[in-house]
Amino acid sequence: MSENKRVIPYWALPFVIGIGGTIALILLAEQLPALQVIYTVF
Amino acid sequence: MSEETPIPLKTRMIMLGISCLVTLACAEGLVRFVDGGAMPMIHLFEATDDDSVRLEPGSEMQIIRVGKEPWTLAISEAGFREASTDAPAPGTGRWLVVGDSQVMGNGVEASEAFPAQARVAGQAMVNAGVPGFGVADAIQRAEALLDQLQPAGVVVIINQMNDWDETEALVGSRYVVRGGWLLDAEDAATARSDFLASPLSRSHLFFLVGQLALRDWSAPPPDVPLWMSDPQRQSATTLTIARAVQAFSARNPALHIVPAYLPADLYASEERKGDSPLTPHLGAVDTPPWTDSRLRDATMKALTGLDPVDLTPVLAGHAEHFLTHDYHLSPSGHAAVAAQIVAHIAKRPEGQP
Repeated sequence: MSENKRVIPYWALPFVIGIGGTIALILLAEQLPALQVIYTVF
Repeated sequence: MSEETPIPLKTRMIMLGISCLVTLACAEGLVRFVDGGAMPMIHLFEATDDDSVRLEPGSEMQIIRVGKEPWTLAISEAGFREASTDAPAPGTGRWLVVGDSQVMGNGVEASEAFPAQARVAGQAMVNAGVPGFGVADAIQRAEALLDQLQPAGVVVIINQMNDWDETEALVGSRYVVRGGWLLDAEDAATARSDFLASPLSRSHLFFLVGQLALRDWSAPPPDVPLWMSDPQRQSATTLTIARAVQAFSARNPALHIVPAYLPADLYASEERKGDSPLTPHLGAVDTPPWTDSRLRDATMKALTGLDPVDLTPVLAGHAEHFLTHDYHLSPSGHAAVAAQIVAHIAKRPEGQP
């Protein structure tokens, strides 16, 4: 019987998705000109 | 061949839950690492009983400067902008400066803001600037501090960029404080306001997500300010501002009051076209702002009888006196303003208020 091998354990999925998403969010916030407004102080 | 014992569902859920918590903590740490522990907006505001706002005494935070190190905003226990929260109370006899974020020194360190650089009789001026203030708010704050500080004089900054839009009501009516953040009053009942009022908004990760998720991306760009498109019809507002300063002077005849006109960045330098928030409105004006002195001339004329100083000459032609991507004064701009104010005060005969 062959084993069903997982690339990423289920308990690590939140970490992979979460950190990957956070990095994408940071890169997005720094690149899009419109988002620079977020970083405009009051 | 051995069989693996299946992990109970409850255990899997617990492991997933722990994984999610660890992920949130790591993601929060990652965002704080990238933003240097700084936030993009000030969240130190408090509402006061007199329809005003103030920066919370004894508070401190780091604020993002795009492409540069964050700047520090520290408010002393006495309620003034200082280099640190434990700075001593200013004592009496110093000059007092009131106004908005330009006075407070948005984007620069406390020591770089012009009140700290403007030394009269060997003493720096007291920085009582609060973002969002109009001229009426500034004067209200000055009068509340007269007994405490017994200032040698008061500088009232008249900021072309904002003050003509802020004469209709005091700051406490134009803005609301939610969770320490200052929001337009018209945004008080929005999902964004509720988010900012919650503790989640202090998380750098959730603040970033919240700003992206709750921003109104379909909102139209701001309208061209009336003072920019039609300066010649601003006489009523200009008189309102001038009369507020005149009334302040009349109530305190022994006090040396210096109203100081601070031009908007694009009215000081054509080279600010790439950075000024007024640039999108250039098509709506008939006179290039950097050559348009109508509002300035009307203001200085309305202030006749007082001791006004026009800060335009020291800023004109100097794009570097304003911050990049921000209309606020840069360190060199603050230095130039400080020098001009001190020179102006020095011209007044001694003993004459």
